[in-house]
Amino acid sequence: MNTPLQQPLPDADVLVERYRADVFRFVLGMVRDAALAEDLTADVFLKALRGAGGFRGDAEVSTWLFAIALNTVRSHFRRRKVLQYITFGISGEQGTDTTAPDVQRFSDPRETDPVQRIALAERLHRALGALPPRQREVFLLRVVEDLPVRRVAAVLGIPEGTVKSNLFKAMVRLREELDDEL
Amino acid sequence: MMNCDAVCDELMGATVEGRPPAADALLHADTCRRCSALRDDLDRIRSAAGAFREVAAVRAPSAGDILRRARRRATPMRRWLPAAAVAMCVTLVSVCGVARHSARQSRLHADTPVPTVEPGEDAVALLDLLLIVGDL
Repeated sequence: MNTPLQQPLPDADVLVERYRADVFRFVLGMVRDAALAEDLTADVFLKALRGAGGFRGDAEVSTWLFAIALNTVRSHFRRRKVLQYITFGISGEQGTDTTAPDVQRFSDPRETDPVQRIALAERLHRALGALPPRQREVFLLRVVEDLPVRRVAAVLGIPEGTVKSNLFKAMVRLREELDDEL
Repeated sequence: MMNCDAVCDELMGATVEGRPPAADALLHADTCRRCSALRDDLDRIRSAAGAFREVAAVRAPSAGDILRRARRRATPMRRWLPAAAVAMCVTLVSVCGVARHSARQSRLHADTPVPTVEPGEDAVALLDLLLIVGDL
């Protein structure tokens, strides 16, 4: 995700191929439902390709795409809230994709066994549900996507200090959440 | 020599900023139970984030699948559906307004008390509906 500045957007196929995993991962972390994340990822690229003319090239492509993904996820949460209100909550809570294999307790942070890695990823996936949306956004962008604080602030449209304080809280909360499992 | 609070702050700060912690802090964490517990937990969280990164990348749909879905979601039917829904709501509210007006008129003729209707009530109801439909 390190596209140099002032570069034009690549073709649709190249754009999707290059950034699909990053966008899907961020959306999955936010909505915590794989099928829904696939649909929303398609929406993100649809919006990106329709709004490609509006890409000025003064931000990195990934920053621009993450901002679109963020808006798409927020719109989804708003829609879900309205639907739940209209249907008196019958539409139910989504984002409880718990298809993790039940494997042994993880003990070594440098674990390389693929099965254990999947279980560990799934534990984080569950723990993310305990974070408020803003902390989840910051954690996913900064720690999972490894964006620098400056770019996380640009995607979220908040000061760098706010990014750091939210990430600090997220780490404390995740430590508590994962403590029971790890 | 750093104390525990300073070491914990340094370990957290390094994680937040994505840089390696100061050597002093790591040295202290090797000998202090509280600080080493924090260091190990932060390592685990980073490791879990790495695992999530790998697993989610494998599960990501292919470019062809994403483009196919995007094309399907961009069909004219899907594009015009919200507009049609808004038009239906406008019609519905208008019909209700006319019906209410007629009912009020007939009550006037029947010399019965008229229920008070705040000005702009219909507009507010319409706006609510538009907001909901727009969001959908």
